Amino acid sequence: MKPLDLWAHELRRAGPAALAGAPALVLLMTLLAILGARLGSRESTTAFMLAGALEMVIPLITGMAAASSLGRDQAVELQLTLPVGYRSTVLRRLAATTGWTGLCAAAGSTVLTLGGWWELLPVTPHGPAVQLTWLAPALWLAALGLLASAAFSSAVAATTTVALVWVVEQVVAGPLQGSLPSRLLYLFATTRGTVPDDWTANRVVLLCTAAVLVAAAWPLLGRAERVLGGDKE
Amino acid sequence: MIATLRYEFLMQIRRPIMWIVYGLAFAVLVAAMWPGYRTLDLGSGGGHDPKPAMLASAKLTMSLLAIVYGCLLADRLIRDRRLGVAAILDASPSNPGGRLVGKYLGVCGATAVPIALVFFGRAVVYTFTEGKAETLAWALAVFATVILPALIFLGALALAGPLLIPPLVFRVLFVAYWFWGNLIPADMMPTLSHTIFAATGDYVEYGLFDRARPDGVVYGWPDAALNFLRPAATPAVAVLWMGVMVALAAAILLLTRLHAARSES
Repeated sequence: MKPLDLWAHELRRAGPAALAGAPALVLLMTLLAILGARLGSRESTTAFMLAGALEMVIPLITGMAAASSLGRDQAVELQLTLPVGYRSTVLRRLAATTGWTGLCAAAGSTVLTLGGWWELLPVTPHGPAVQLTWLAPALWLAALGLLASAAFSSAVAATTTVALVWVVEQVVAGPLQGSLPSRLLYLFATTRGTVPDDWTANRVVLLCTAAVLVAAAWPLLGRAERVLGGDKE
Repeated sequence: MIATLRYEFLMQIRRPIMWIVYGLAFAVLVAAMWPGYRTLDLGSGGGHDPKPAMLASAKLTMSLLAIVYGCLLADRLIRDRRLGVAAILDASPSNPGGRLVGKYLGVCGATAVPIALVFFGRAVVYTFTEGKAETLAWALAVFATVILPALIFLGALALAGPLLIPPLVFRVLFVAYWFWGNLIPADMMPTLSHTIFAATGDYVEYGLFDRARPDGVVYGWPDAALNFLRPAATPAVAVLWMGVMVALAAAILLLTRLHAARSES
């Protein structure tokens, strides 16, 4: 099979429901940006919701998708005998779904740029850095989802872990921003605000720790016995 | 129904992953909410009074563990179909409606056990640290009126939701719903939170247990949208809220039954 077919297969495998989420979100964002004022939403609220869709909802989608990407392979025994490693299949799968969501998020960020909404946020990123708004938390939660999925061998446990982390970061935003280490790891620094000058450091730390999380998942994914075990209910 | 209930309860309660995830969630709860969870004082100065302390404990416990509850239930109903046993069960002489109710009660009961353990465990610890035995009575009352109606509704929602949309999408929407419809302040954006349809038991807290808000304001958000869904908190409205939760759960289960009946024919 040609590599392109493999990519197409992974996209088909993800299914229309998983792929439709991100474009639907961008559509909602566009509608909100156009109709927000008419609906009676204050400008700052609209900006918060638009940036929140990028920085909060897009990562939730990638994280949940990554958390449920393992364990449901048909005939995984056969797959493990192929020259293509299981790990590269998983990475391709993640790259396909996360890449598609990322493309949609990039389109969504142009909505904010065109409307000048970035200026109304607690932190205003400039130039290409605006893409870090969604990229850093999206990759971090996806990496967490992958690690949880590999560690628990259960889609339920992994998705719940991602969901928990997401809600905790929302609920206890204040205390998490209080100390430097948790502030640098805080996922929603653009919409919830952070200490001035910490924003770039926060994004870089998130991307680096995402790489660490993937590295932690790597040896777990390489053990054929775990993969053969399938999804523990 | 009883056989299904028993089977589903035991299957869920013996699921190691459920205890692992709840354990993790409890650790996160303690770590994230630490000062508040230790004193059980949410800014209203009620940390030494058993009644507000138990209400605070219920609020903190539910804010995180309800997500685990919903996510763990989300795959239970569609599982029969995925494993291919749904057709076999349909061919058996058992009553499909009874099986659905049995499954609902069994699975929800088992998944609620860790929440009850956490809540009553905290109540027992509070009883010893504060030396007030009436805490246990308050804990029982709070559990039955604040937590139980919410679990009844959320259980039905989480079981039935994945029938309409894929479980992955449902979990994303469930988390977003929990945050948007239950946790955020009412005047942040148009939201169901703090309305009669929210699953957080605010009406019982303010109506039945007569707890004033920390800032001394009576229940209500003058500037919030959808305020027609937020009647003043009185004991009658608190009872109405419990009724709404149970009615919604019954309606969802009825729709599930109709959905299944349609796909059978």
